[in-house]
Amino acid sequence: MTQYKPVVGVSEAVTLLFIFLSSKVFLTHVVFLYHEGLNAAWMIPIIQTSTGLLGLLLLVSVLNKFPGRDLVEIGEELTGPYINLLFALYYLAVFVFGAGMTLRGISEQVVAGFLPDTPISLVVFTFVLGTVVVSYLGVEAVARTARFLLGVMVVTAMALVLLTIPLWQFDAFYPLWGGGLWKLLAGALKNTGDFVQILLLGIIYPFLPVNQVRQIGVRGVIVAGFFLFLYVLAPLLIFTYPSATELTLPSFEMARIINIGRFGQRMEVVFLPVWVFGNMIFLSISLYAGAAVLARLCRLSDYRPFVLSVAVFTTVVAFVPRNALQAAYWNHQYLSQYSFIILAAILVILLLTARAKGKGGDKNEQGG
Amino acid sequence: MMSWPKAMLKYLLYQKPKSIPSVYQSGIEDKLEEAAPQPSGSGGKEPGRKPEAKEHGKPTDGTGGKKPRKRVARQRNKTGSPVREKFVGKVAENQSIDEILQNKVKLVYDLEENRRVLAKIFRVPQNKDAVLRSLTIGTDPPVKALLVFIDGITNSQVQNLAVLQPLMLISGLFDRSMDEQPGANGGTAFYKDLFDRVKEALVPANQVSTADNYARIVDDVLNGNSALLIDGFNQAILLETKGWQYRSVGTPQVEAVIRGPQEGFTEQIRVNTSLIRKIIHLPSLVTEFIKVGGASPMQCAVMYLDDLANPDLVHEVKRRLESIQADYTQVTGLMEQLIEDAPFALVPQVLATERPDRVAANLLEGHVAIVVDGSPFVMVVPATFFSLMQSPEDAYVRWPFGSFARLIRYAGLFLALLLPAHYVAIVAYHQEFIPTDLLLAMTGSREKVPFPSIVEVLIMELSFELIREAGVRIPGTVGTTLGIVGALILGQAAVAANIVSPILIIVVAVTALGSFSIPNYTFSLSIRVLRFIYIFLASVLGLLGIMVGFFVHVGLMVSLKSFGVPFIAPAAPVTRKNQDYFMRGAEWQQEIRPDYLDPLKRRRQPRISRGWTGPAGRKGDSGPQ
Repeated sequence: MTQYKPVVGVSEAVTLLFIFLSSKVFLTHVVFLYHEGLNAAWMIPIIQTSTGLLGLLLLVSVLNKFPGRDLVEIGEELTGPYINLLFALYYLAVFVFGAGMTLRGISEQVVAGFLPDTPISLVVFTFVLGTVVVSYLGVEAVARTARFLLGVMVVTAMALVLLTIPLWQFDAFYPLWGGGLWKLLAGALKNTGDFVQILLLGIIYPFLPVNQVRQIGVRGVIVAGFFLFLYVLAPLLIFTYPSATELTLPSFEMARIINIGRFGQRMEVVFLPVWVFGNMIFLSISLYAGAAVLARLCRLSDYRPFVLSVAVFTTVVAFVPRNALQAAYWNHQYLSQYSFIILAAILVILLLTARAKGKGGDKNEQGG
Repeated sequence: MMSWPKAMLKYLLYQKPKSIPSVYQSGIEDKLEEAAPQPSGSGGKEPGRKPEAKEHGKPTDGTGGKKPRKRVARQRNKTGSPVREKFVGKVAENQSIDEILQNKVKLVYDLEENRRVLAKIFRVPQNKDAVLRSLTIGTDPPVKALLVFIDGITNSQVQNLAVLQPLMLISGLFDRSMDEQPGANGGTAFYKDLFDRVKEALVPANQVSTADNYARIVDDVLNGNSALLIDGFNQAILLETKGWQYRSVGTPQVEAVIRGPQEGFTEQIRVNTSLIRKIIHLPSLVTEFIKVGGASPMQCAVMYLDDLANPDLVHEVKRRLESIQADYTQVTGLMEQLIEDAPFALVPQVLATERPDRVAANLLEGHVAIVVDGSPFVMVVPATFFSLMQSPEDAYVRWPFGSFARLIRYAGLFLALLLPAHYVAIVAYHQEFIPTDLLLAMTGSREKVPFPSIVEVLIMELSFELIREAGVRIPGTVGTTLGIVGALILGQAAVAANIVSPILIIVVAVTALGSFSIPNYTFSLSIRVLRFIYIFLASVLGLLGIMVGFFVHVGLMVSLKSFGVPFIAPAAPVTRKNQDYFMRGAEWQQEIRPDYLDPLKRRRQPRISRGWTGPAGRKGDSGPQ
């Protein structure tokens, strides 16, 4: 299928990146931010977006030194195969662990909300089967699928928020700074890992339009930041703090309380596409990226032999937590909190090594 | 009088069954296998073998079962030897004819030898279609000649008046009027030789060419031309005498429009190309003819605008057509399957249309058209999802109505594909979604139905498909019966029998209407099939099944390509687009051609296409009253 080099356009790449970064808002994830930021938790995504942008610029500066090569190949050239193996395993962990926890989370959500009598194994299998097919077709297919479904997803996601406007209580904003500025800053910096998925750019870099990677990254991070902000803010305004901290699936609860007259109640099914498609795109990207990292490590030109193995690995990881809450907690604990610092450290090491070894060209990117 | 007991005995007593005599009996491989000894080795009969196995009709090779026999049969099939061995003489003759054609064997000077070879090629005298007409050209001295043609596909009027009459009756007059000093080989000072004279002056046919080999003659003759061979010359004159019966240009049968041309293609390739050329008056419109197919080569015309279509696209189309080796490709539906990128995909990857105006519009965008002789449909490539959902009518009415029609059509597509599946999913899994009043009404209507929702949906959908298929095949005289039967099955009778609920009748009817709104027939067929997959997914996993199925469906669609163009372009991947892919923009906004075609000229019309709105236009308006 992929006899030629795939090409991911600007629009598809931005879509891919922002969905990969922001699909977590449909799961339990945002609840942890309420614990950190109290009623001012909506400010956390704004600060996170800033740190995400900084990380992105660091990543792009590394990538632009080695045009046409992804992060694994760059790491190998700069740090050698052994150290790079550690780096690559970290990348793999980010993708597989994130996919595993998301798979468990979305499956539990579907079982709890829509298919209470269906065994979770069947739901997980369905998700895995669908995402394996699309990720097997390649990054082009994943990106184009995401782009094609973008309209449905954005309209549904915005409708979900807009239809709750009558329920918003603006008093929930106060006290404006919540627990205080420092607590907010500390909370935001602790959760910088929400933007660790910018790593995706490093994996699909060779397929992106030359000279537009920074532009893609910045747009993707800002749009993702907007959706994070929106989906942290809306439950706060509807349920107010501290009730919002008791929610398991804030977006699902939002959908449940929408009431547009006698005929428009129990509308959660209408919003199922945004949950399903958003998380399936996340899973497809993760499977592809995981397989691509493994293929680079093994120096294979084709990622496809690894898609199924990464899918199996992801499924195993998904079933390690005892329940959905533990999966969400682990995701927060291990991926959202500290992973970004590790990524930043790797990028700094690569950048310094490149400087020290005098490798890589200095590419002056236009735009962005 | 004793014959009646005999006749009765004939029926009462056992008589050995008589097989109906037939020279031809199929399955020659099996018969040979039974008759001939098994090959030696594992499949062969061992000399010391006991005969009882044979008595019971079992294999005697000791390996048992059908496996060895199958293997032998397969081996024989590969070589095709039993049939070929039996008719070895005929096979050899056919091979020698094939060699003459494939090697492009040259004509000889001896007319009788040429006649013999052509008679052999055309299987004369068995074949009564091929005519080898001897004649004498009335020159001084007279020369023997031979006219070869296929009766029925030539215009006998043209042959009589423009070929035979001039050659046989008028050539002498012409000979005397021309002068003068006879040249070599029957020629004059004016003509090189007699052959040249015949070609230049004696046959007033509108198209004349020469051939020096049998293959070329055969090719032309099979296409309705006549070949004139003259004694003493190793060349033939090919005369344009085509003249077979064909359907005249009529109204389109499938793609009817209200405001627009009412002409449809016919089965005649030349008529079809002229219908297109009639619309596009441009010297850059190129019609290239390509022979397609192996056993029965088919005339195919590739049409494109030379100053517009991407040369790589044109090259790719020609490359695919030229490479085809298939027996029968006379219908676009067959050829489509041989040139499409993904033959296993359900959706069509070429746009088949019977409207010349639609082909012309596509050519002007930079597409390439493939006209197949014998087919009233023309293929336009590349095709995208959005082009399959468009109708010419969208452009022929004012743009708001065109856009509205498209919206309705996309809604129809959604309903045709997913409505029954949603019904199953909501009734079986997501009842909470249905408002209470409606839920009560639905539950009440389904109360007496003994089947689960999936079964009733399948019953109704399959019944509908049955009616639709029967409707296509049914003879016109009994067509009205189908409507009555269909109404009975899909109507009140099914509800009264408590087979299905009334609401399902509405669901099936709306689904049917949705599928009829899809403008492309092949695409509509694919939606019909996919609908059942979605119904199955909905019955297993409710809406989740539908969504996962849709996700995979989209993934497969976006991976598809039609002649190098992504099937979902310009939506995924996103390319620069004009105002005519999802909705129909105003005519004056159609400024650029589709970006995914990479045409040589990108701009379709200037930025201000309505010149009268500019200052110059206004000035012009104030001119002559």
